[in-house]
Amino acid sequence: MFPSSRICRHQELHLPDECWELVFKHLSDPLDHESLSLVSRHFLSLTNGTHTDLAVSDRVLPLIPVLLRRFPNLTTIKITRYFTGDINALLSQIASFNLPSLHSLDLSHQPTFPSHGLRQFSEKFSALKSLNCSHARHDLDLVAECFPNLEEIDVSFRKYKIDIVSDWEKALTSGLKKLRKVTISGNFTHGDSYLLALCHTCVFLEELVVIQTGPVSMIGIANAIRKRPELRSLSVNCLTYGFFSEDLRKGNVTLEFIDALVSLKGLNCLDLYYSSISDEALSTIAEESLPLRKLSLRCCKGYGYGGISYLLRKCNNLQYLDLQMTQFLNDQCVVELSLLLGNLKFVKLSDNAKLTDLSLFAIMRNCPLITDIRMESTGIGKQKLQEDCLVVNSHVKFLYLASNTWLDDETVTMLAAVCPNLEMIDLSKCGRVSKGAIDVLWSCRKIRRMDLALLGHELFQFRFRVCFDVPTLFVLNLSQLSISNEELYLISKSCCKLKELDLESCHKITTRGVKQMVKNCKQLRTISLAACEKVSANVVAWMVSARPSLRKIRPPPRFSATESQRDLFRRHGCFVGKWSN
Amino acid sequence: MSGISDTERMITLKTVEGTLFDVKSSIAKDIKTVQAFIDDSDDDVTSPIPLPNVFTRELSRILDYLNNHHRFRSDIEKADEEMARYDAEFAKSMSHEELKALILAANYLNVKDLLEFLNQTVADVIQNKSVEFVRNFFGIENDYTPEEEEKLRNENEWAFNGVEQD
Repeated sequence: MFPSSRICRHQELHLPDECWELVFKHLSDPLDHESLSLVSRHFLSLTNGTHTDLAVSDRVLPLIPVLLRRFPNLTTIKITRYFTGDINALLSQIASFNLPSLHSLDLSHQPTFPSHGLRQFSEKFSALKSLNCSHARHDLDLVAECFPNLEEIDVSFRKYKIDIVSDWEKALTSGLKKLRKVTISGNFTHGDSYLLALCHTCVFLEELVVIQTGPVSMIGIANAIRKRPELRSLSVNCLTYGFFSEDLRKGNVTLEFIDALVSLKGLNCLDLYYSSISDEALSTIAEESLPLRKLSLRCCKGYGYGGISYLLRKCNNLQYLDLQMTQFLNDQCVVELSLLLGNLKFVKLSDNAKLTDLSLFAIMRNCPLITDIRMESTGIGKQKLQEDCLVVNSHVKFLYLASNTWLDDETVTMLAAVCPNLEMIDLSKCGRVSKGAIDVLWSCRKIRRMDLALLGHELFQFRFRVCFDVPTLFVLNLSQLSISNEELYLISKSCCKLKELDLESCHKITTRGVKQMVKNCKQLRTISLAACEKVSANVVAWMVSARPSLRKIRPPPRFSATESQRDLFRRHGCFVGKWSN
Repeated sequence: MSGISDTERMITLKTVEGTLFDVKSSIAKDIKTVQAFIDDSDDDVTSPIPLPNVFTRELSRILDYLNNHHRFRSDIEKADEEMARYDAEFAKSMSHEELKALILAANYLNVKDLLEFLNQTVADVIQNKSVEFVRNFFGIENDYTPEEEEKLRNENEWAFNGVEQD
């Protein structure tokens, strides 16, 4: 689009700020804001205004005053999991800044509940709308008192249990009445649980996520949701049922629960993760014609094709379907179901070993709006399709096909041909795929991300030669591939816009290969050289100086930085170490 | 379809240069600034609506775009495909200067779909590009001192990317 030859360079584009802001909102990668901020002071102030999220780690702490002044429109602050500083002091410090848009605070996984800091924080930000305390200690009563306008709270997996029931009851009498979304976990075997009080008191409640951590019981949930017929989204996670006896599991989605469920006439979204549900129950849901847009029966048991096809026939507007790990599912089922799913945009059919190419291509043919297909660990590759059965689908953007052990080059090449607008493909752990990945790079002119970790590990050897430009690709994972320096050189020439590259355990790559690569990829931000045995630890300091765009480096083995090197990394704003995603 | 008929009411728009354009009222609906003018008038608008900030070249492009999009939408079967092809050609046909003028005009007239599309076009140009490219491309002068730039780079790392160590 819009070739540069037609455009006269060195000509200023003076757009009003409001137009620039709209342009920046259209950038698909928010990291682009970082380089735009370096263009000029004007761009800095524009990008500062569009920045909304801040994650506070130990490294960010000293910069807090600068950053909070810099980003006046922050909406969300997250204290990261490994923050070791004083949270109370941090919250008090944040409270001394003017952040009129701040409405969301994430304290998940924090070992202490910062009562004192939160009180000070709430004096400034009493309009807070969202609080995440999952996997953390918390004092609901204090939360209710501090944040009367809270609309969203996640209190799942509470640490250090006290009497949850009385805590909730107290909190609900004093506040929390504006809640719209609640995520909660616990033991709901008692019909008169606090869940009931929650649904009774919070008249605005629309979204409820219930994670059962005790013996599964649907009675408490059924009684509770009956109190809140306005619910739009219900997620009941019965993950623990595997730990209990067959008796507890039998008929776990009871008719009593279904009866309560179908009273939710505005229900758009239903997720029954790991529960057991009968065909009869699904038929009852179908007959009530709930306006479902999102349905997840991932890892559910107890039902069969009859129940699900009846339900899908009645749900004409379904956009999201998750049938991960569904024992009865085979190609014929998926082919027939796909004919009922004309509005589907997202589908997940992972961990269904019986599904093959027939299912994948039926979805692409019969669901014209599908953009996101997830079929990991299936039997794709076992059945080949005739070329004349293939239909181009220009909506498909994301294909998650990891761990498909049967998937081979022939199928991947076909996929490349029928998905011209593909942006992301995950072929990691696909042992029989090799040059098919190159066909994707060749045919899919919008490809941005590619995960090829452990690609072709069952093949004796293959050459990964990319000899054409792929200017769109910016994330590439090549970890555990036996590619050579020469192949890496070709990649760096062809994919010169790469921003993130993972070379973990690429045992053939040497220091020379890494240097060539870093020279060619002028925008590289992130590189992992973990377990690259042939790469010298000295390359890290060289990279930081040679490639100023680098921000994160996972160093090769035996790396240790000197004090002056650490200073160099700091000055370049480059993090060297391990990270988790 | 009842909305588009031969007898549909026409509205006349007048550019800075004084050129008059006759526009179907169904098209004028997409030009929010014009529609607001019509809504605010008590009587039927018969005299030309003056557009003091819009030049003939831009208005004719905008009307082309809207007319074509209306036409595509009437044929649902091929709408998406043809629209995408048309949009790509539309973007290609413009110089930098023309694009800018069109954004300003679309912004003033508040033509939402077109503005979205033009902003996406500019975003596609700067997406994934280096600082130097963006400066060169838009002719923007670097007004940072080297020290400021280095300080900002350092700040940015933590501002844009909360690294979590494991």
